[in-house]
Amino acid sequence: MKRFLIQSFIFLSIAVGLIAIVTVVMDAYIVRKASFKCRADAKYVVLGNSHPEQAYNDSLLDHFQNLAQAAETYLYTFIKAKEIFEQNKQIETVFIEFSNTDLLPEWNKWIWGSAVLSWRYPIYSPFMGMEENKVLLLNNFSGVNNCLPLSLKDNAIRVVHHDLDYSNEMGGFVYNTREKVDSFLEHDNLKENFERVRKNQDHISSYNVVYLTKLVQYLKEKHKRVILIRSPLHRSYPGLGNEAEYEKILHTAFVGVEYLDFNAFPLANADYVDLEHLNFRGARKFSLWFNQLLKEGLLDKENKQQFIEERIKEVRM
Amino acid sequence: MLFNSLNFLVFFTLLFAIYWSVRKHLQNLLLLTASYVFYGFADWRFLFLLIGISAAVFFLAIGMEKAEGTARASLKKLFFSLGLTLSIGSLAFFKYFNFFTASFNDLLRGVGIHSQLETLHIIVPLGISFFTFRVLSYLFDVNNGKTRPTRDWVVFFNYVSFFPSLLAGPIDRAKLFIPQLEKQRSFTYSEGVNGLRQILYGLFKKMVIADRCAEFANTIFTNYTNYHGITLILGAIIFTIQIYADFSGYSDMALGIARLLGFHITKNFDFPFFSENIAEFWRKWNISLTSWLTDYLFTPLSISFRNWGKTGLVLAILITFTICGVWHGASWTYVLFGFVHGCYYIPLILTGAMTKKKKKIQDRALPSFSQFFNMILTFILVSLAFILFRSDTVSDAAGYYKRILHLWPVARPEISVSLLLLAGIFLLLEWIGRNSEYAIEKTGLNWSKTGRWAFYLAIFIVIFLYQGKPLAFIYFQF
Repeated sequence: MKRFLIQSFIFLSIAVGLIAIVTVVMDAYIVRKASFKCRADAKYVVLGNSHPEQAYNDSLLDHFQNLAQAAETYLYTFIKAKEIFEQNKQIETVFIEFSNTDLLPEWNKWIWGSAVLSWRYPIYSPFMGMEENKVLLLNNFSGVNNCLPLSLKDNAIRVVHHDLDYSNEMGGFVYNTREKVDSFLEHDNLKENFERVRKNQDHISSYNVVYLTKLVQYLKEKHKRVILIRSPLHRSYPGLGNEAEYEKILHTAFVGVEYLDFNAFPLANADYVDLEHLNFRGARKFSLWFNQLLKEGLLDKENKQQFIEERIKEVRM
Repeated sequence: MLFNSLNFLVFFTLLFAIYWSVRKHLQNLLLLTASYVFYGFADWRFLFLLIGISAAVFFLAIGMEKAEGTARASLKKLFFSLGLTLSIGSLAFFKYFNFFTASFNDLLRGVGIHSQLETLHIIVPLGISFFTFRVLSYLFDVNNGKTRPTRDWVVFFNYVSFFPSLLAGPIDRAKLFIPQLEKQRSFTYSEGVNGLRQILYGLFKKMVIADRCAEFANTIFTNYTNYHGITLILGAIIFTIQIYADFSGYSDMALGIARLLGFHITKNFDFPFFSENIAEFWRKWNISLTSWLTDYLFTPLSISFRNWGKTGLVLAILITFTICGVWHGASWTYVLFGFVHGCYYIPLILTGAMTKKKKKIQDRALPSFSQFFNMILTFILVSLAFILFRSDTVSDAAGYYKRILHLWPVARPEISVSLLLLAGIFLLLEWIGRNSEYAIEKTGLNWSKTGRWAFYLAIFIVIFLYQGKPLAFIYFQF
């Protein structure tokens, strides 16, 4: 029995060790060679999930690059940002989307849900620190375990094909042509959902908030100007039910961080995909207006929010 | 709890460590507890059924022995009948009630009678077909005097619920398994290594071959109307390889785990794809079920029909295989699957080929042309029958068969080369290792230790790379 146990232990150690060594060496190589290059003229970038992804048409914005990606939680934005800002010293200002949606507890599944992991983990695993791995392992051990081989395979293919340009993984504007708001307004239980969110507003995705604070902290250490923004949401969006909690977190966890609220920007139902996302028409209207604001020196104004509100009033008229 | 899951690894490591550090009686108690934990992990509610049937059959068998040769001999018959009713009744209720009810309603509707017999929301207990057949064989053997009932309840309960073979077989016989539970077991290095090697190969079959084939077969069978004949033929072939790798992979793991605990359980597969006719195929496929059906159904039926000559034999085969189909599941697709296999036997019975001894294919490096032709023909017949097995309904199966004939205009098969290559390598590995109990049993035994370990490491790493979300074993549903 003793011999059997010793031999089995040695075999397993060699097997696991071999896999670990290959993974570590390959990850180190990827981290060294990976390219997260933005456009050379990009002074402003926006980070976040599908809201900014579909709201900021960077072809209409000067010196601006949209780096937001659908379903991206701040944990993955944080990992991505560390690589992007190491390689793109030209970026001066970082807009980070922070809206009511980002507090919803459903976001946890976008951090460690098995389906999300099988997609995100192979891309981000070489760049993840111990802390991020710990969060994922503690919350979905088997999910991470199932992704390890997938990650090893995908990254081996990347290395073999020398496909280390991550610019396609960094996010970007999505030109969405759908307009479904009318059907949502007609069929969804909007009032009930609003009440549900309002009553449960203290149940938030705390991991998402924690990683947003980490992201802000990291960018400040890198001497980047960080501005939290809230892009337009439809006034009937039930997620706005947690407004009180949203305000509370904004004024406690992010004291001293600049904040711009564009939620009141007037758009028609036909400018939205659904109650959360702008379509190409809405994105065009909003981006042109936002670009004008930047040109007019929004970022240098003393009372930026007042300036925004005044300009919104003008649009309404 | 799947054998290829982390939960099982933790469960078994703990069990293994404690099991070999305690004495025999405690080993049996521990094994029984482990089996119930293993079974309860899937759904604890069915533990009551498992324990209830075990207890009832245990006492009834003792009662049968006590009643034998006494003035109360009719009691033996009564106990035997009670045991059969209880076992078959629970199987019939949990697995077939809704099927029979729905079929009865359909039948009456067919003749214009409106029937309102209600179906029930019944969840089929995992492994019910396997443990029911295990207790049935015990009852038959005790009744026929082939086995003496054990008086040790821990031993008997272990026989019914031995966790490596509880959910998907093999269906062990009491006279082979109970003596192993009654004696002191000892661990040997060679058996331990053999067990680990067999588990490794079982994992390879399940996680690398079966789960990869499943991706393709599922797509094809779900959307068969979108594919051309040649792709559908490949879909049927890949499903046949999938189900073999899945089921025999499970059996290899079960045998390997049993070896690590000091048990030898029935070998369930003997390289069935290299069979030259359907009779040989069934002697090598799900061996424990085939031998069970042969002993307790086909043999008594063929004795009963012996006066009818070959017609009696055909009838016995058709009944046996139809029941074999029904055993797999409560659906007309399984009934037809069994019946079709029964029909495949008819030419063999009529020509007398069923009992003819073939020259062993094992003796040659390569098969002769006629052997190869027979093997391919048998494989095609089996693959065609598996279309029924895999289809959700008979009309789906009929649609699939119909579309297979759409071979013109010739289209490129929609299958990845890597999957074909993987299937080819697997069949080659099986062919090379066909003289062993499992394909890699003897591979590398005469190599240097480094070479041998490199081979096992390669398999381990391939398994790791192909690992994904574990898919359930197909035979768990039976």
